[in-house]
Amino acid sequence: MAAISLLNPKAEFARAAQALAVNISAAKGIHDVMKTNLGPKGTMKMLVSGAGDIKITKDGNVLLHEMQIQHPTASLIARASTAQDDMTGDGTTSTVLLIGELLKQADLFIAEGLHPRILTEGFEQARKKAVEVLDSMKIPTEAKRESLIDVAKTSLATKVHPKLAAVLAGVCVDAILAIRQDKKPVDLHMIEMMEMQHKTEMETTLIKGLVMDHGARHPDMPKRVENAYILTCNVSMEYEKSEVNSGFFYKSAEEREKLVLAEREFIENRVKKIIELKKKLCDGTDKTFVVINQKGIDPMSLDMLAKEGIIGLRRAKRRNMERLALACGGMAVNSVDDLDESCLGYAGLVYEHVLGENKYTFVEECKFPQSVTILTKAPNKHTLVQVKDAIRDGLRAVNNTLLDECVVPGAGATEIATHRELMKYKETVKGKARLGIQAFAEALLVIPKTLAVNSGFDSQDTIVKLQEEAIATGEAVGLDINSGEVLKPAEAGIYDNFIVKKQIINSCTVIASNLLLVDEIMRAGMSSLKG
Amino acid sequence: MAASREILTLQLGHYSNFVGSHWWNIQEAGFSYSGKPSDVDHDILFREGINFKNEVTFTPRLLLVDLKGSLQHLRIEGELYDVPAPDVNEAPWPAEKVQVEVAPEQPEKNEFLRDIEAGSSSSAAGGDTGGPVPTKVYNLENDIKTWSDFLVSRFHPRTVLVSNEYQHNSSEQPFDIYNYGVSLFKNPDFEEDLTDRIRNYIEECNNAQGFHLLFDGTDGFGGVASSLAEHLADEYHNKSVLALPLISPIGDITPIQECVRTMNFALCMQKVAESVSLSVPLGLDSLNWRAAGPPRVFPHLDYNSNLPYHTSAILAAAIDTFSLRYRLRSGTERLSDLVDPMRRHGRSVACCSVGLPFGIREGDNLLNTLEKWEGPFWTSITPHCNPDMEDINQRIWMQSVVLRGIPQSRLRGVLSPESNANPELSCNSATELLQAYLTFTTNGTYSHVTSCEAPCKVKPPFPRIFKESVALNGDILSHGSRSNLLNMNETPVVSSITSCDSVKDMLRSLHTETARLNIRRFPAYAKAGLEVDEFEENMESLYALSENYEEKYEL
Ligand SMILES: Nc1ncnc2c1ncn2[C@@H]1O[C@H](COP(=O)(O)OP(=O)(O)OP(=O)(O)O)[C@@H](O)[C@H]1O
Ligand SMILES: [Mg+2]
Repeated sequence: MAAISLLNPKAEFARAAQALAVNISAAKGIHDVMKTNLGPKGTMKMLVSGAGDIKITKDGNVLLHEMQIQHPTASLIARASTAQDDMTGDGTTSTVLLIGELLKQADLFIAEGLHPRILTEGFEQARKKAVEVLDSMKIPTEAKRESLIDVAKTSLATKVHPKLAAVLAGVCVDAILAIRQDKKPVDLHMIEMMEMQHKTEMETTLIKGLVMDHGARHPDMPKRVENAYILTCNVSMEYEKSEVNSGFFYKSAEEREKLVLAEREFIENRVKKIIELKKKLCDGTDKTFVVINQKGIDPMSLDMLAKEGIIGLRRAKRRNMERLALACGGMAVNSVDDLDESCLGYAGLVYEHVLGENKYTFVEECKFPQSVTILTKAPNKHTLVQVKDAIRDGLRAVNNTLLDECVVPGAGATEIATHRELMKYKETVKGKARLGIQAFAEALLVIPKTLAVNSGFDSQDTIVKLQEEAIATGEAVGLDINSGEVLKPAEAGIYDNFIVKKQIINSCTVIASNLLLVDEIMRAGMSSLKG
Repeated sequence: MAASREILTLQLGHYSNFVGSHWWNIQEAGFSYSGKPSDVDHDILFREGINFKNEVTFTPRLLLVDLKGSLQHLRIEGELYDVPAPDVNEAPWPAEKVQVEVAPEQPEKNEFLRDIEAGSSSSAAGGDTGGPVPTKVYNLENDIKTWSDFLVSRFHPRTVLVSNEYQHNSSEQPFDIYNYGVSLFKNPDFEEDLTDRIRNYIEECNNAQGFHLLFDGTDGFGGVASSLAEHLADEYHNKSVLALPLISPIGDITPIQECVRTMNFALCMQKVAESVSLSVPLGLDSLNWRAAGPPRVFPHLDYNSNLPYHTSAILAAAIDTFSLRYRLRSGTERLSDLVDPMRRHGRSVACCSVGLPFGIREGDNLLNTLEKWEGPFWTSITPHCNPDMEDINQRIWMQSVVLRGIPQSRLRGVLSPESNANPELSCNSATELLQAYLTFTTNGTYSHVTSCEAPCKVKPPFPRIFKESVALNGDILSHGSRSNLLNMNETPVVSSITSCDSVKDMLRSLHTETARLNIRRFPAYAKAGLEVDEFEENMESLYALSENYEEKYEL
């Protein structure tokens, strides 16, 4: 290889052209796999492994993770798309499509001899302009339930069937509104996602409290209590021989036995302190007491608690310590010394639900829950996963809206409008960079075109209709995926997140430009271990 | 309360799953479905559950991790908790808009798997799995590509965790750098899934002893293990963790890959030793860093040291044996009794030896066998470690020895008058006998001995690696040979975990081989987040670890 390039000065160029061709074809390949997914009428993919494992998805990002992407260019695109998901939670399919289309459009000009560098300059100018156009299309939103539901429903209906989307949209919006403070977006970690393999996905609900995937491990503990104090703690109530063991040689067996007893007593005292507090606060009242511990509780300690009618849960999730305090009030304590009422939280109802070998504990009727749980139900594992993925997208969409304080019209409206503005803008730009702007504008149309095709309509007809209507009305118009006609997204309640669309424009420009200017980049990006 | 001593086993990586598969097979082969309950308390490593059909299940208390594409015929969720197979129409989406993509045809199931399937279709949950024909002889060497190809055990849906980030055996994006594993563990979805399943397992235990942590030390899984070990120390700090870093057969690799394997191993050895109770590296090459040394020799085995299917079986037999110390129904010993004393003076790495089979002759007894013993007592299965009880220049501080498969009736023969003076004669159990023997043979070594009558089950799919001079029950034949048409059934085994100064040699050589590599020449590490300073610190700590094995610390 090196020898050839010394002899032939054109070899460098030839290699670059070859690399470009490779990149373009790789981008087309992954574009082709993904294009049928786009929009609410896209194709659902059911992936079945050799052993019979099933995965059902329509989500670009999920699909990219399932695919075995070996080609470095394709994996770069996949990574861009995953980054899009990490940042905004949406728009991964669009990202793949737009990068592919930008390269396709570029290819036409490069074939005619245009240097990629000039094209990418045009792309950059187009990108700036496109973001401006997007800015001008913002529709300010207030944090009202109805408008947030529209956003959530638009996102969810691209992942699950419309009836379920309606249920999940309500769940997502209510979850966020329940814990939102002073208009800010919420910390989504404070929404616990719990799943139950049971019944149907339509029964997915929001619990204004916490659901945990474990229950009391003592047969005599109550299965249901009302009016409960909640003690959240991270204190071992488990006797461990290993602490005794750390000194290895004992003078005598009695000495060892003594140590064991001392250790046992030490643990017992911890439990006694909790019982003391319970007696002080609850005895003679209708109040009850629940201990939720991040550490272990052994059978002896459980027994002591059970005798007092206390529910004791062990090995709670670390993150639930924080969530419990937010849901019920009080605070998570690391020691049972100096316990008093102010440490405790409150729940109107705590009960256990048993499903086969799985137990669930519901902590509900909290006063001002700052943490809630979405309880996903479905008859099998793969539907649970699918619904959970959809809910995540829905939550992100609502949160993005709160962050942006606006939305943009969906159904292809922004792409049609931006295309038109870019074509006008192109006329004002001198030199060949305007070809880059034109390529960019054409590429954007891949979104409405694909939406049309996936809905069973002709892409050319659709684009023409949309463009005519946009010019005639001067308003944002999109595709009615049911009739193939034109609709006003704002009237139909079809909204996309501003941040998602903006991010798509930015990252696709960067990635497509990189791929156009390649030659050695990809190779260097590959594992340096090969060889 | 003594009743529950649960242990959660964690297997990270493909070779670990090879070893694990053999291990679970060996254990299940030892289940006793009728009559006398087994000597082994299976509730420690297995769990009882109820599936959706209200059937009782008994499955390994196990969480394993592997990469996408490594499972072949094994379903992630297993079959025990199966719900009716879903079909296309079930996806709540217009049927014409559902595209079903079935993974490319799998290679056909091997003969052994087909026989299991045929035999067990009747009993789905636990119970006696009809299984393959006991007398059928299998030669699976060429058919076994992955560990699920010989796995008999059936798993709980919580057991198998497949990382979607990396493809098994990928040449484009191999999972071959320690720091890839560290980053994988930082992926919140992966971390949450992994740690949550561990929490679920431990929550249901009444008084868990701790964890077995088997992991592939020479690739990215070393990084996962390091991070996980830290998590365990953090979240379950009272529990014991026995780490078993595994070294898979080297195979055919480039010099660069040899360096990378060595660096990975050095990094995880150092990191894991910091957080776990005890770490015992296992592998069947006598030397390992960079180039493989000659494979370990077992006097009665004939195995292919390049085959994971073979080597992992030997390691599994060793693990199943030395762990009996804290797994016997009659015992009260806990994992902590093994690991805590060993790690005194910061000696958190130990080595392992195994005698497979324990060489007792047909018709002979234990006393006679020990008295006549010549040559090494067992074979080291920790690279670079060669503890030798007879070498007075070596220091062997402590060893935990388990001998299995010698029934009380074979303790000694008829008393002969001239051996009256022998104090071993007053011994009334295999434990005492071996204890006495080790006291005489070793030089100031504290030996803890456990014995158990239950032999190690080595029927198929345990590989046919026993020489023809080994009888069906593991005895050594004095003359004649075992018929090739028969399967071995079981064998006595002896295995030990040893804390000795030979570990120092291993750590030193690992340090030397790694420290002299220029980390900057391996940009993949830097790209994956390893700073040069950090690497150098790791190497210093590795050296410091080896210093704990200097005798001066014994004061
Ligand atoms: N009811 C609708 N009618 C027409 N277009 C819609 C409708 N709902 C959503 N869309 C459009 O579908 C596109 C989003 O599709 P989809 O969610 O499948 O892909 P994506 O967001 O690019 O990727 P991801 O798979 O990450 O969600 C957006 O352009 C959106 O405007
Ligand atoms: Mg979307």
